[in-house]
Amino acid sequence: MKDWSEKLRVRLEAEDRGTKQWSEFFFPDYKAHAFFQAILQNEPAIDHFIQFLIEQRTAVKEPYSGAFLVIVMIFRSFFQINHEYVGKIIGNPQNEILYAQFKRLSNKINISCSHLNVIKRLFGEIKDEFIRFMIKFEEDYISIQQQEVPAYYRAASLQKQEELIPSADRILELVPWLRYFPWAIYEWEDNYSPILMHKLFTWSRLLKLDGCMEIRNALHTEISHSNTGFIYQGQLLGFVKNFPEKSKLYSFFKAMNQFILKDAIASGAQLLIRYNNTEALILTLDSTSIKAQLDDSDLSLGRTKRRTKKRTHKLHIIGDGLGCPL
Amino acid sequence: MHRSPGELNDQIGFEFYKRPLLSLKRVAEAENRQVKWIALDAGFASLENLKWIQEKLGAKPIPWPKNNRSREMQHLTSLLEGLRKIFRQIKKDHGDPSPEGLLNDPDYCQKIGEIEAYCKELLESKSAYCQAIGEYLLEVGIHEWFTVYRRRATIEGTFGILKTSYSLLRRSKDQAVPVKGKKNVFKHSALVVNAMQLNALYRILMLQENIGQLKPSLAFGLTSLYLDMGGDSVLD
Repeated sequence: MKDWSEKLRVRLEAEDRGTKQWSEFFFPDYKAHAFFQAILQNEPAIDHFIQFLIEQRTAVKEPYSGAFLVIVMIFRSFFQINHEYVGKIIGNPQNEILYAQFKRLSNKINISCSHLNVIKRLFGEIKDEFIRFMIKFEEDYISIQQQEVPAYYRAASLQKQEELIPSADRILELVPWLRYFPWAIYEWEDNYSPILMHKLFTWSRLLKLDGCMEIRNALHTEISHSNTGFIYQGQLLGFVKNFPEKSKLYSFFKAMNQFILKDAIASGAQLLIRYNNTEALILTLDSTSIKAQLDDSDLSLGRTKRRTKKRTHKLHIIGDGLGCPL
Repeated sequence: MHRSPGELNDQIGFEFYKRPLLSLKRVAEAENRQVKWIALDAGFASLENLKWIQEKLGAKPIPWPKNNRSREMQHLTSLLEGLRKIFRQIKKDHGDPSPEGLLNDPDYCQKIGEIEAYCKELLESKSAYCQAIGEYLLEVGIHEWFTVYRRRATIEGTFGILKTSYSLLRRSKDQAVPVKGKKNVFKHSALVVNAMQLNALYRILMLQENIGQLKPSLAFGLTSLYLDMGGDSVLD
C-alpha cells in the first residue's frame, strides 16, 4: 500500500487520457475522482476497523465475538471465490493436498449441511489442518511477494497468467463488497500481489483462529435460514442515541450497513415481492429488548447487586418482508 | 394516556428511524425500486407517524391499530385477530395460500366484509384516531392490508437469529450481551449485525451466481456515504 496514492494518481491520469475501463466498471456515473479522494481521506477509518477487529478478539474472552463472526464470513466468501485459484497458484503439492481437503470439506458441507452434528464433527477433524493450511498459504505468499519476479510467473507465459489469475473485475463481480477495501483490488489488479489474502491470513493468525464454534454457528445459521434470504438494516438506534463516541469507526459501521443494503437492493430479486403485478419493497419496523450492562462504573461499586445488574435496552431494526412468501 | 413500555420505546424510536428510512428510500429509488409499504406494529401506529410515512416516504403504512384508545379500537383489533385466525386455519388446511387464493375462501371474504362494514362505522366515531384508522383501512383495502401486514412477523425471526445464532446474547442463564460497557456493547452489536448482513449478501450473491444473473451494482449513495463517513451526517 505504500505507493497507493501514487498509483491512484497514475490511474486517474490514465483515465483522463481515455483509458476508462477501470472507472467505467466501478463508477458509470463518473464520480470516481470524488470517491477515491474520499477513500483516501478515510483510509484511517478502515485501518481503525481492522485494528479494532484484532483488539476485539482479545477483549472478548468468550468464543462469541462479533468480530470473529465477521472474519468467518470474510474467510468463507474468500474461499468460495478462490477455491480454483488457490489450488493452481501455489503449485506446491503439499498445499494442494490440503487445499483439496478443504475443498472436499466445503463440498461436503454444502451437501450435508442439514446436519449440524456432521458439521461439528467435520470441523473438529480438520481444524488443525485448516490452520496449518492457512499459515502455510500465508508464508507462501509472503515468499512470493519477496521475490521480484516469482518463479511461478516466470515459468508461465503472459497468456497463462491471464488464464490462471482472476481479474479484479471478476473478483469484484463475485464479491462486490470487496469494493469496501479498494486498496486490495488495486494491488490485485496491478501486480497480482495478493495483499488482500495476505491481510486476511495475517488477521487469522493475529486473531488466533483456534475455535470452530463460530464457524459452526455461522454455518448453522446458513443451514437454518438458507431459504429466507433476508437482508435488514440494523441501525442499533437505541445505542446510537447514547453512543458517546461519534467516531469514524461508528461511521464506518453505518456506511458498511448502507453498502451492504444497497448491494442487496440492487442485486437481490429476493427483496422484491409481487403484489398486483407490481414489484415493490416492503420494510418492517420493529424493536426488541436486549439485556446489557452499559455502565462500566457498575463494576467499581463493589455491591453484588449493582455489579450484576443488567439493564434492558432496545434494539431497533428495519427489515424487509422476506422469508414469508406471499 | 396509558402506554406500555414497548409502545413508548417504539414511539421514541421512530424519531431515529426517520433518517435511515429516508436514506433507504433514496437507495431504493436509485435502483428503480419503490418502497411501497412500511409494516408497523401498534407501538408505532400513531397518526403522526402514519402521516409522516405517507408524506415523506410516499409509502403506504400498514399499521396494527392501537387498541388501548377506545372500545371501538378494541373491537376492530378483535375483528382483525379473527381474520388472522381464519388465515391460520386456511394455512393449516391447504398450505400457504396466495393472495388470490385467499379471496376464494368464503370465511375470509366474509370477515373482510365485516371489517369493512365496521370501518365504515368508525367514520362516524367521535375519536379522531378511530376515524382516521377506519378511513385509512378502507382506503388501503383490508385484503391488501392483511397480506402485507402478515409479513411483519418475519422480522421477529431476525431478532431471534441475531440473539442466538449470531451470539448477540450470551447463551447462559442471564441471556445478556456478552460484553460490558456502552462502547463495547455497541461495537459488539454492530459487528454482529454486519456479520449477519455479510452472510445474507453472500447468500444472495451465490444464488445469483448460480443462476447467472449477477448484476454489478454500483450507483448512487456510495460517494455521498463515503464522503460523509467522518461525520455525523452519513445518512443525511
